[in-house]
Amino acid sequence: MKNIVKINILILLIGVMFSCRKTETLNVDYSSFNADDPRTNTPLDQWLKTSFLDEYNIDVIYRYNRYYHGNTANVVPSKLENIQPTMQIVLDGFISPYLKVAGRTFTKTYMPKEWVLFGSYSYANSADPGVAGTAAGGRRITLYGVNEYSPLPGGQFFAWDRQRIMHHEFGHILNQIIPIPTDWESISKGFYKQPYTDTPQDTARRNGFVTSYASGVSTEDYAETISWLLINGQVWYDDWANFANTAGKTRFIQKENNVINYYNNLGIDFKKLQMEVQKYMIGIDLKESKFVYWLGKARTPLVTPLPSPAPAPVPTFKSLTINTGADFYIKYGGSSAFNTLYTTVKNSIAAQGYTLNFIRINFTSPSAMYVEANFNGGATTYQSFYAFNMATTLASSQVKFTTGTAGGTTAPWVGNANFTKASLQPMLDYLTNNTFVADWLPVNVLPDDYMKLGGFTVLNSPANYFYGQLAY
Amino acid sequence: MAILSIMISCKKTSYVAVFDKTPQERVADQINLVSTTLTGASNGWIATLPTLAGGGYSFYVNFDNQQNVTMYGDLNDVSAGTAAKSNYRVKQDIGIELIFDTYNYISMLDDPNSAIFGGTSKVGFSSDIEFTYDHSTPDSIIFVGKKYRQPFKLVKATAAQKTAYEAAGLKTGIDKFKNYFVTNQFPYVEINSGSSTLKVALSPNITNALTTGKRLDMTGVLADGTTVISKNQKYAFTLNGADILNGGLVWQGITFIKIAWKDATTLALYDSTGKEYIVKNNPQPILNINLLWGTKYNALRGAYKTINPGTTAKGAAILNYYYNNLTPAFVGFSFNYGHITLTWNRVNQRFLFDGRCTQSGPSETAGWVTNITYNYTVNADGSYKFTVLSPASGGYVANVMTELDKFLKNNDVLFDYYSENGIVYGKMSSVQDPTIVMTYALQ
Repeated sequence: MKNIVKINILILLIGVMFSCRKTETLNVDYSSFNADDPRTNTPLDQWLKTSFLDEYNIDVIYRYNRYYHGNTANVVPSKLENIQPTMQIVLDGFISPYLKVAGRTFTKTYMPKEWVLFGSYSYANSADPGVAGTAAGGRRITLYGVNEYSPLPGGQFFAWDRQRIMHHEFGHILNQIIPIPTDWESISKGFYKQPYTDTPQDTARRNGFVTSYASGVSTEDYAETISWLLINGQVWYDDWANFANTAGKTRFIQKENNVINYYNNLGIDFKKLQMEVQKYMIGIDLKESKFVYWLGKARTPLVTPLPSPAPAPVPTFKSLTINTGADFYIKYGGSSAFNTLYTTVKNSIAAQGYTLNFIRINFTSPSAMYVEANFNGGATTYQSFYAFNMATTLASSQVKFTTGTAGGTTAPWVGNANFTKASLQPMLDYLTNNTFVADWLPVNVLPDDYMKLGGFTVLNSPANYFYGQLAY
Repeated sequence: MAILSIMISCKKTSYVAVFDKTPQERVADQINLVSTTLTGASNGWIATLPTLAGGGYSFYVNFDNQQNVTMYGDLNDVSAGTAAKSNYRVKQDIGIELIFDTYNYISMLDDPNSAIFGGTSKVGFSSDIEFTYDHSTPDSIIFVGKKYRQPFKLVKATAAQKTAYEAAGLKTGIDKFKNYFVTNQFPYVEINSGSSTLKVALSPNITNALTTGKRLDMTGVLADGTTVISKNQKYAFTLNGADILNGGLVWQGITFIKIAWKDATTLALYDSTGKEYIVKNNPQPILNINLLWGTKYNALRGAYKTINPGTTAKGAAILNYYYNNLTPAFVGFSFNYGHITLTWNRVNQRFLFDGRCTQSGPSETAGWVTNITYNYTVNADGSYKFTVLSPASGGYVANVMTELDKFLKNNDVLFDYYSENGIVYGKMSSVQDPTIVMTYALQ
């Protein structure tokens, strides 16, 4: 019986093999299909072709096609006049940094091949918070909201926000090609929760997330971490981490290192990429990318419950340490005008029988600091303090120091201060007699030190400046 | 048997096509037909489009054979006076589809960003930018919106119309139309019904408000003197007046399809048979407001801290007692918004006084409502006598509703229109003390 079944099946199979034998070849002519391939040949199209298609094999799709946003979403097409400025923003703040840091081969290989542009954001319904960008298949980025474009300075947010979206989406694209390291999810394990809109920003921050959105799911967390590190820069990220709590801060540091490693494995120096993106951001005058903004900023730590009375806000930076003998001064050099001044002070203190270790600016609030001269007599270290007021102007980055009120009656403020006063006087005069421009100095700083060093240039005298190591 | 049946199952019989062309060839023909029709109108097209959620709109569109389209629209002064250029394409979809695929005036109706043109936030006016080809006639081509299924009708323009549109004629036309109705505040048409002539009030809403704008309202009382018929339909502006969309406005069996200028100063309404109804103006509203309670006007609304024109000092004091005392001292809590709604319930002969208060700013739905319900009788002079059916209940604001409550209980109340700057309000006044007058928005 079994054999009969087997034989039957065999015959059946043979029968099937023959039964569909075709006697004629299929005659399919694809050229007669009505392809939907909208093409015009305007100056815009030519610009897109030379800038994106020819260069990177990127097809910029700006003509509306419902297929690209999902059938039910509410989306309108882009304004024609906004296509080129938006894609210029893509080129300047996104593709160019990758081209410069990751190289031509990487950029040509991994840049998404389809860029889809839509005019509005995408809303599924009247309660949807909206979609600003998507990444798909490792090959496509969809950017929404092109109609919001306006030229700088009014369009600063638009430019910044596009970079935020693109660096985020490209994070996804990279993740779709090279998986997220397995140790990533464990960093904030137990804190991912949907819908992310229920997680307030402060809560997200305490748990080690750059945004509420990042707290929804680990893949979004990865893309958000990449994006915010790049677009808002290292100081923003460190400040965000510093004012979380201890556990949160640890997670931020782990996440940053995880991202740096991920990029290292791709052959990309993440710090260098960050520096390139930050240069773009400084170009559009993003305040988070400017030294002076952080000088004028203080924040109350995130402590729950908040003690009463609430602790005083803490300035972003604790101090800036100047020492013309330090490693970084040897590495990058300094301004001869300032070096001469520093040497004069150092020699005067030496003449008093002491060794000057360094001069430090201690920031006490967004509008005050004191200069600390740190010197040794034998094995004993002494300090003398001189108080200053500090007035910062965000738009011009200008900083003006004026003599302030002593912060106490202890030895550094009185005895020591009086003792070294004459020796320090040229330095104190230098600070009060000039208007300074705050910036990330020196100008030739390498990516690893970028935003770790900061300094002040005398207004209109680019060769007269000083800088030092920043501490949080 | 099994083997046999399988072997036979795929045997080919010679295939005979029902159509003489392959599907893709037939689709190509249709695409070609739509494309050449659109580009073939050398003077462009005059298009009308009702939106699903909002009113009606018109466009002047001109297609070239390079996928460019130039457009005017009756959305606002800019769209009516300035041509905007964008792209279109015709492609195969479920049917043949016309897509306005870069932004133009027509996209504004679909824009989910309500800051652009209004409409529902994140939705817009529920209007399309993709249209499926339906049919064409020698001088027109008709599409149906892909998502919201509204008819998009394009009629060939004449050379004169093209010239007019390109000289911002649409804006001129809209301005003239609007001005007519600002000057002539109480327009009406006369309609013969049997042996009597009915006066039917005509009121086009010229705004772009989602639920009320770009609609033409016709309200009249039938020969019996009591039955109020009120109908409205979406309309769109034309060079010479307005077209009533969706097949026209049907009022007592007559289908009105357009309003147009008969001569430089005379506006006329036309029905589907071409009959003309001259628009006339009355010094005051055609219809007694008391006839319209519960039919055309359901309620009177006092908006938060808004004293409308025509309100006297005594009237304002009554209203302000409510608006200005939404404070802990009077109502126990602090509220940042509150309005008064007086609603007619004609069936049960009741009048509902609702006081709303919220702590979340202007809202139709948030917060709490306190209600007082009155019975009413109508006096010989047409004034109303209110008696309390159920006292204040619910909500928090009973203590500040007292002044208006007293007014309603202690006076014989007269209602009438009050009109200023082209806006018609509902006026409430006292027979006993004519210096107490309050005006409300009509709803």
